Formats: sequence, structure tokens, C-alpha cells
Amino acid sequence: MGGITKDMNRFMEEHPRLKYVFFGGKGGVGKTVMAGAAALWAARQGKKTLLASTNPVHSLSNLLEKDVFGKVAMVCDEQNCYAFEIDTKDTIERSKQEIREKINWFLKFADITTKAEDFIESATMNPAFEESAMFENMMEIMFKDEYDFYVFDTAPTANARRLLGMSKVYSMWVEKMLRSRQEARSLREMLSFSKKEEKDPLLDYLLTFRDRMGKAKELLTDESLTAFFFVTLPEALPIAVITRFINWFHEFGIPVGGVVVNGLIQKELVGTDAPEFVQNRLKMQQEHMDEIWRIFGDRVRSLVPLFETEVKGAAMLNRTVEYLFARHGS
Amino acid sequence: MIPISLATIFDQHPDRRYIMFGGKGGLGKTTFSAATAFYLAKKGHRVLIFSVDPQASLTDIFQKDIFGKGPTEIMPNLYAQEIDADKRVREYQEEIRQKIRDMYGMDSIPEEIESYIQAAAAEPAMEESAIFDQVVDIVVQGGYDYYVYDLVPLGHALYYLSMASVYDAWIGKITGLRQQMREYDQVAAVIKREKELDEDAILNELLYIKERINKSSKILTDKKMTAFFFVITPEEMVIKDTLKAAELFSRFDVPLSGYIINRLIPEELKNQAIPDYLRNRLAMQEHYLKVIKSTFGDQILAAVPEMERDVTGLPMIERMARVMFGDF
Repeated sequence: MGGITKDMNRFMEEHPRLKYVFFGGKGGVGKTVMAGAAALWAARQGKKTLLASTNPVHSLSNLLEKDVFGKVAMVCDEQNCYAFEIDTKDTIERSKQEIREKINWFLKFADITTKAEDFIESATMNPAFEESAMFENMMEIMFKDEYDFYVFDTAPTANARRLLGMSKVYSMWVEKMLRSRQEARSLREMLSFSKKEEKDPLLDYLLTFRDRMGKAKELLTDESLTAFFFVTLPEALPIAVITRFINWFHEFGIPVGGVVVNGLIQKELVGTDAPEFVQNRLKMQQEHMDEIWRIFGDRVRSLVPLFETEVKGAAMLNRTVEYLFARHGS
Repeated sequence: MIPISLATIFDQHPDRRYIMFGGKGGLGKTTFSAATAFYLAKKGHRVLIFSVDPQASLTDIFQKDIFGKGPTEIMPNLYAQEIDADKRVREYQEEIRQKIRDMYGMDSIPEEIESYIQAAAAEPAMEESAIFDQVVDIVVQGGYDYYVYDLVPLGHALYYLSMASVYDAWIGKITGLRQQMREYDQVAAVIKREKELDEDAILNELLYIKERINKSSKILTDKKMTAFFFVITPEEMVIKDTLKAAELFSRFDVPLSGYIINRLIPEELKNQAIPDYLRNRLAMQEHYLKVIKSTFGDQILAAVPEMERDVTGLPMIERMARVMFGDF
């Protein structure tokens, strides 16, 4: 039962302007591997490609057998393909510096001669700061626009959902801040003797930030530019997780590109004399495949087998590319 | 094979009522949590298993939709709960609206205030606070003999544990700052009387949160009351990451009870007609089991074989419990 009606190649042909690709799913399903394979494929289409990890726990370096933490490096000697693990420490430091400048300016503006450092510490200790920093970083990479194609290896789904849902959150947040800033400003102008318009860097920053958020949201919700793929194994829990997720993403208006099934035991390699243990796993996988066809139907894009060794390095990644972009049907 | 000694941990330490399984994503934490809760409930204890993961799998493993429904009975003595943070945030918002309506005798909330309430709920830290708040509620409320936490993957678990100290520092900063501010004459002159009352209300709220968090983090880091287990599998990356994590956890004073190895493939398969992927996995397993034994030694409490199908539904959970705890 079931079968792929629209494979990855056809999806890509139908979305020729596609530029931002994300892979999400439960922990341990092979998101990083798929992201790596998709990046290699894109590079071979002649697109200058960046494979970026926004995962707080990075695994790209391990996959590529090359240290890409905090620095951009070429993937598998592919001229067009680069990888990069975002170093949040840097991001956070940078954000702190930005905040420091703004707070300093604000304190001067408010005639308060206190040390800004304590304010900054308390602002950046906010538990959600790292996540925000990660999102900022993703936006920055997107806006620099140095590549034709981006593949993001995202954190386990809950994070990914929040990371993307955040753009909406931020716009609202900034709106709120803007209103209170404008009130403060007009009050100050009313009170000041000189009545001259002062430059307000904080307000400028907020406006810029809001525009950036707006732009990010525009890119992330444009289905000709963005696609979010979900990776699952033929097992109950990963299937349940992405089922929930696809619904969430619909709510956010984030385009779902489809589903990739990973870790399939290849039937033809299992002999009739194989032990019961293997036969049973095979049977379980087949039952879950029925479920996958039933739930995701024509949104399944690829079937990737369980390879005989774990996927690491160029040779294994290339084999993954073959399956991820295998042609099905006509 | 390693002798199974997980049951003895529970027998020898009857005071350890808070049970947690930590480890990377996809190693079987939820499965172990469910099987442990099942075992304890069968032994006659009243057990609550709950999840703070927004993408929780308890609903899937028990095959019963419990998301956001509060503690739900799964079988006699066993209750499960999945926290719905969004719902919690919506409840906060409604509370605020009600307060405003009562205070000003309004029928409806003015538009500009409504958008403010919406924006406040959208603050990134809100979801975390909501989840954390609910966990604190559960722990502080009591009513069960055992609490089994189905923890989120490593990074986030650490994050939750560090949250207590973060809030602590944060609140400390705020109080410190406010006292400092008072010393500035020009500021004191600017601050109006009612604003001060306002700020004191905020500070009181923060201190209240701090107290609750301290209470729950005390439990989490109390060796007498908490049993924390790491789940590992015989793979290079998993071992490396677990070592890293174990070190971090010890920095937060989380008392580690031991390690449980998951996903062992039966060794006797080696001599049978098996596909290459399995043959290679067996070879890898053999090597990394040696590494695990030399690294974690006598801290290994159980070795659990890979099941031929995934663990969902009570009959499979019971089978897993018998593998983990022996007969009961």
C-alpha cells in the first residue's frame, strides 16, 4: 500500500526559487544527516549553499568529520557547499554589546548616572536569551544573503516551532516597546526647554528590529522560498511527534515541504532464514509504514534505508543523497 | 551481561521519591519513565508521571490523549500528566483581564489594553515560566508517593535545572539594583510614590517565585529524595555526550544514581543469518560496551535489550518493566 506520488526532485522542480530549507523531527531520527545530504545536492545543482546548525547541541562537525564550530568550512570538497555551526557564545556576547550601547545611551538620556553593567547582566540573564540570540543569528545569516541556498539543521521540534513562531512574538513585543518609547519621547519633548527634535537611537533600533522581524516572517512564510521537512523513523513516537508538528506549523503559516522516512530495513537484504528478532522488526516497520502512508500520504518525499554503518563523512553522505533525491514513479 | 540491580536501588532508598531519566534525544527516556512508573504503581505506590516537554510523548506511549488535561488515571495507582504551556499562558491572560474588569467595572477590555495583554503573553520567556510554574505546582502540591519526570533532552534539562540559579541571580540583581537606585537622589526625585508601590508589588511577586523555585530545586538536588538515571546506548557519540552532560549535571549538584544501557542487540544473533547493518551494529556494540564498562564501571544498573517492536500501550510497557526490574 502507499507509494511516493511526488518525490523530492519533483518538489524542487515545482519550487525553483526555494532558498531556505529546514529539517525537523524528534531527537535521534537523523535530521542532521538529511540536512547534510540536502546541502550537498543543492550545491551540485550549481547553487552556492550554506548548511547551518541552529541546534544548541551541535552534531554537524561529527557528521562531516571536520570542525565547523563557529567557522565556515567547505563540505566534502564540494566547491559550492559550506557548513557552519553557530556559536551562541559569540552571539550572546555580541547581543550583550549591542544592549550595552543602547542601555548606556538610554541611561544618559534619562539623566541616570548609574553603571549600566548590572542592568545588562540582568537583561541578558533572562532565561530565553540564548534562544533569542539563536534566532537573531539565523536572521543575520539569511539577510547577509551570501548564498543561493540555505539548509538549517534545527533543534528538536519544540525548539524549531518556537524559533519560527518567535517572529510573530517579536513583532508584537517590539510594537509594545515602540509605543512606550514614543510616549516617553513625546513626554520628554514636552518637558524639554529647547523643543528641538533629538535623535533617538533606541527608537531607531526598535524600528530597524521590527522591520527585520517582519522581513524574516515574510521569508519564512513564503512557500516559494521556504520549506520545512519532517524526518521520521518507521516507529510510533517519531510519527506521533511530527503529526502534531505539521498541525502546529499550519497554524503558524509556515510551509511544510513534506516528510522523509529514515532508517528503513531493506527487505531484500533480510533472508528467509533470518532470526525472529530481525523478522519482527521488519514486520513492525511495515505496520508503521502503513500508518505513514495513511497519515502523510502524498506528502512523503523520500524513503531512506538503514545503512549498514552509521552515516559519517563524504561517502556515506553521498549514498544518502541518492536515496533522499531518488526518482519515484514517472 | 550485567546483573540487573535497578530494583535494589528503589528497595534500598525508599526516600527517593523523585525519579528522573536524563540523556540525549531518542534514547528511550520516555519508555523508561513509563516502565518505572508502571512498576512502582504495581508495587502499590501512588505514582504521578509527568512531562514538561512541549512535544511530549506520554500521550503516545500510553495511547491515551492526556495533553493539558491534568493528572489522568492510566490504571489503578498510576496517573499521567502532560503540561500544556499555551493553555497556562492563556489562563494568565484571562486572570489579568478579569482583574481589570473587576477593578474598573468594565464589560469589555479596551483595545489598547488587550493588545498589551497579548504582547506580554508573547514574551519569549513566558512559555518557560508557565511550564516551570506548573512543575513547581505539582511538586509543592504533593499527594503522590512517587513523581516520575519525563525530562526533555539534555540541553533543555540542564536549562531547567539551571533555571533556579538563573532566577535567583536575576532576582538578586533586581533587588540589588533597586536598592542602589534609591541612593541616587535625582532618581529618587523622579520616582513617584505610586510607581514605587507598583515596583514593590513586582518585587514581591518575584520573591514569591524565587521561594517556590528554591523549594522545587531543593528537592531536585537532594540526594535523599531524588534518583537521577542517565540513559546510554553503546555508541561513540552518545558516550561522549553523556560524559559531558554528567559533568554539567554534577555542577548543578544533581545526585546521579547510575546509568542504564538501552538498545542492546542479543549477542547470540551473531551466529545467525543477519543483514549487514545488524552485523556491524553488533561489532560496534561489542566495542563500545567495553568502553562503557571501563568508563562507568559499577555505576551501571541495568542493561536493556532492544525490543522487536516499539514500546507503546500497557502490555508492552509491562514487558519493559519486567526487563528493567526483574519479576515483581
